[in-house]
Amino acid sequence: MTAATGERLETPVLIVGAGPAGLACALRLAQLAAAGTAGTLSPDDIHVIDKAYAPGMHTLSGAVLDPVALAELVPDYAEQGFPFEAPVSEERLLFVTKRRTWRIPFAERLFGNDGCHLVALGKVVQWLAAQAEAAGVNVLMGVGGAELLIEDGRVAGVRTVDRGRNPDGTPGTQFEPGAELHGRVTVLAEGAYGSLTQQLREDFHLAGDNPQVYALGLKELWDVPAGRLRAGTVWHSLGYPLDPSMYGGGWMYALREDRVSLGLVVGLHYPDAAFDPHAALQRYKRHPRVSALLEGGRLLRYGAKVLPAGGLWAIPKAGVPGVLAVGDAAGYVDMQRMKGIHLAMKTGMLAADAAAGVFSGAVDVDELPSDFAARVRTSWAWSEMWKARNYHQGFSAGLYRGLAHAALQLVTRGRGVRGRYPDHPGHERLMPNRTGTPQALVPDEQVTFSRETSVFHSGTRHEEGQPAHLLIAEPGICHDRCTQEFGNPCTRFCPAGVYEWQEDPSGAHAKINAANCLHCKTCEIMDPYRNIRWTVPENGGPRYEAM
Amino acid sequence: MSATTLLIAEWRGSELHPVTRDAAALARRLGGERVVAVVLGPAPAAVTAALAPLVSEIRLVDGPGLSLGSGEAACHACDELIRRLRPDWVVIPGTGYDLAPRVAARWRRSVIANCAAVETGVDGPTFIRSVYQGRLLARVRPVGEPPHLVTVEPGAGGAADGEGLAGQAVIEQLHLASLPAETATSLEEPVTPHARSSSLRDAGVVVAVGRGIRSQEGVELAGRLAQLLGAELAGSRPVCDEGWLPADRQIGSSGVTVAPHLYLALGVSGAIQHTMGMHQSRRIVAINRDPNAPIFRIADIAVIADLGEILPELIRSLEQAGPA
Repeated sequence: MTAATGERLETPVLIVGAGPAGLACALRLAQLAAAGTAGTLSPDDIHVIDKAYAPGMHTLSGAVLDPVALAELVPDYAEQGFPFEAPVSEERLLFVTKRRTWRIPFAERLFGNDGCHLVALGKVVQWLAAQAEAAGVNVLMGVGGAELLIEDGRVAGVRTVDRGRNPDGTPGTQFEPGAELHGRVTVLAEGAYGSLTQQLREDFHLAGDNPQVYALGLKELWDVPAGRLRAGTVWHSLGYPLDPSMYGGGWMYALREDRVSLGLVVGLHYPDAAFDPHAALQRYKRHPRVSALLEGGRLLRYGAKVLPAGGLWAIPKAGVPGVLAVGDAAGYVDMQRMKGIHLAMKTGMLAADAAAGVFSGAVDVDELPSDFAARVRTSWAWSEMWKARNYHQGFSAGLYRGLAHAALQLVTRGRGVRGRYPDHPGHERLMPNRTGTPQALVPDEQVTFSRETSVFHSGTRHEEGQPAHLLIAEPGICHDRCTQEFGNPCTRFCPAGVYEWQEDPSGAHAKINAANCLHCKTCEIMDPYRNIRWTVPENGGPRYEAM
Repeated sequence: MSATTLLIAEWRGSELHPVTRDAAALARRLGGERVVAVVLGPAPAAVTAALAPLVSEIRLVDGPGLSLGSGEAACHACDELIRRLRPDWVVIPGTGYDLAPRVAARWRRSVIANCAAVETGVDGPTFIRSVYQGRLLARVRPVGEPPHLVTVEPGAGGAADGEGLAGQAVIEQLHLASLPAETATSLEEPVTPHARSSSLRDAGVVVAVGRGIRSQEGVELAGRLAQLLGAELAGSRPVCDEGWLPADRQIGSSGVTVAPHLYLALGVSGAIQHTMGMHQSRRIVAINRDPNAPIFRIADIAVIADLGEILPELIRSLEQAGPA
C-alpha cells in the first residue's frame, strides 16, 4: 500500500460496470426503491462506476438481442425509444471452406432467434444509462476499480485507480490516490474477465465445477452499398478460416440494408501457438462470399473483446458476503444460442431484487449471496443455462465431433452421455510452437487491414504519461523460455498489436504498446506462463460508440 | 455576536481573480453577516472596487515580505488576521496549494479543499467537494474548533446566483509591521512551458524517421541530413517510444500534425496513425526497404532501398553540393 490514502466515500449500493448487467441492476433497484419495496433505499443511493469515459464506449457484441429480460425491465421499451436496428428476418448457418459455402439445414434451431432483434449493444447501453439516470441512479463514468476492499472476510467496496502517476509508477505532481468507495452491497458487473471479479475468484478461491474458459470475439462494423443483404439477415458460419481442431466461427449481420456487423469468434483454448486471430479475421474477409459483401464498402469500426464460454458448470458455486457477480463477469452466457445480453440483464435484475431485500430488512446482508443464488436457480436464466450446460465442451475435440455432440445435446436436452462434461483453461492447452510461422498476409487496406490500421479504427487512446497498465511479472521468461517454447505468441494472440518482439543490437526484448490496448483481456487468458497482468489504466480505452 | 468569515482575495495584475467571486459567494452562504475580505500586498484600486459589493469589510494589508507573493509570507499575514478577527471560517480561493496547507498546519486544522458548493442546514454547513479529479463528489462536514479552513474550486459557479451584500464594504488599511521581512521562499516570474514543437508545425521541410532507422546512431545520421536540408527532424511513434527522439517530435494521431512542402520519410512504414499527421504534405518522398510498406501508397516518390546504404550516400552528395 502507498502511504497516501484516498478519499473514503460511502454508498448503500455500488455497482461496478455500466453495461447491460450493471445498468439493468441499477434501473431495477431504482424502480424498487421508487415503489417503496426497498426499505429506506432511494435511487440516489445507487452508484454505478465504469472505466469508459462514456456509456457504451467499451461495449462490444454482435449483437442479436432476445428482448425477454428487457420486456420485464421496461415493458414499454419500444415506446421509450429503444435503439433497435432490425428484427431478425432471415437466418442461415453456413459451413465454409476457403472458396465454397454450404448451408447447414435446420441448424437455426440451436440459436432460437425467433422474436430477436439485431442491435448495436453500445447504443443499447447508452439507452439503458439514460433510463437509469432518469430514474435517479448516479452513473459515474471514467472511474475504474483498482481492487476490492476486503474487510473481515467480506467485500466492503472498491478502491478506484490512482491518478497522476508518472510513467515509472512514481507519484507525479497531480497525483491523487484512488478513492475508497464503500458499498453496503457491491455488485460486480464488469463483463468478461473483469479484474475485480478475478481478484474475488482468487482471494476467495471461488470456482465452479469446471474452470471458466473464454472465447475472443473480433468485430468490424462496415458501411456497404445497399442491396447486398436484407436488413435483419443473420448468417453464422463454421469452418474457414479456423482449423477444424478449433472452436469458433464467423458472423455477418445486416443491421441495416447498408450496414453490416461481421466478425469472428475464436475459442481461447486453441492449441496452435502460431495462430493469429487478427490475421484469421482478415482471411475470413477474403472468402469470396464475405469479400463480395464488403467490396466498395468502408470500415467504420474495429474491436475485440472476450466472452465467457464455460457455461453453467463454470459459474462459481459459493458466494462472498457483501458482493454479487452478475452477467458476463459471472459467466452467464448461453453458448448454444451464442447469447448473453438477456442473461446479463436478467442476473443484474435478480441481484437488484435480492439487494432490495437487504434494505427492506427481509434478508440479512450476509445471506445476500445465497438469496441471489436461489433467485437465479429458480429463474428462466438458469433453465436456459442448464439446457446448454454441456454444449461448448463438446467442441474440445474439434469442430466435427462438436457438431455431432451438439446434435446429441439437442436430442437429450443438454445432457449428452454424462451429466457434466469437463473443461480445461485456455493457457494450459497451448502447445509448444512446432508448426512454424504462418504465411504472412499482406493487407490490401481496402477489405483487409494491418493490425495498426485495425487498431486505429477502434478509436483506442490512452493518455500519454501514465504507467503501462500491462505488467510483465518476469520479463526474463519472455526470452529465456517463451521464445524457444512458444515463439512469443503474445505478438499474435493480441488483436491490437500491444506486444511486439524486438530484436535489435542491444538484444531481444518485448515492447509493450499499452496505448493500443482494447481491454479485451486475451493476453491474461492465453499467456502460457501466466506472466502478463492486465490492470485498469488511469484512463483511456477504445471508443466503440455503436459496437 | 454572529460568525465572522475571512476571505482571502486572489488577484493577478490589475484584476480580481474570478475564483474570488466564487469564494465570496460561498463565504456569504456560510451565514455570517460579517465577511471580511483580505487583500494581501499592493493591489490596485480596481481590485478593491470589484470586491466592495461582494463582502461587508475589506482589509488592505501591507507589511514586510508581502510583496514577495509567496505562500509563506501570506501565511504569516493570515495567521495574524485570524488571531485578531477570530473568524469561524477562512475561505481561500483554490488556485494554489501553498497557502491553505500552511495556515492549516500552523493552526492544527484540516482543510476542506476544493469545495464546489455549500449546503446549509440546522446543524451547520455541509460542503460539496469534488474529488478524484472531478469525477466524484464528496459531502464533508467540519468537526472540532474553529477556524475551519475551506478552499474553493475555480469555477465553482457560486458567483452567478450570488447577489452581493447590501451596500458597500467598509475598507480599512492595515499595516502588519510584525511580519518577518524575509521568507525562505519567494515567487519568481511564472514559467511558461515551451510552445510545443511550433518549429516543427511550421517547418517547410520535415525529415521523419521511423523504426527502419534502427538505432540512435541512425537517428543522428538523419539529423545530419535534416541539417543539410534546413529541415526539422521528427519521428514516428516507435522512434519516440524508444527515446531516440523527444516525445514532442512525434508526428501522428497522438503527436503533431504537419503539412510541409517536402516530407522525407526514412524507414517509416506508414501506419494510419502516422500518416494522418502528415498526409497533407505537398511532396512526400519515402525511403523504405519493404516494397509493401503502406507509406508508398501516399508517396510521390518511392525509394525501395536500405537506409544503411542510401542515407550516407545522400548526406555525402548534399555535403558536396554545399550548404542549403
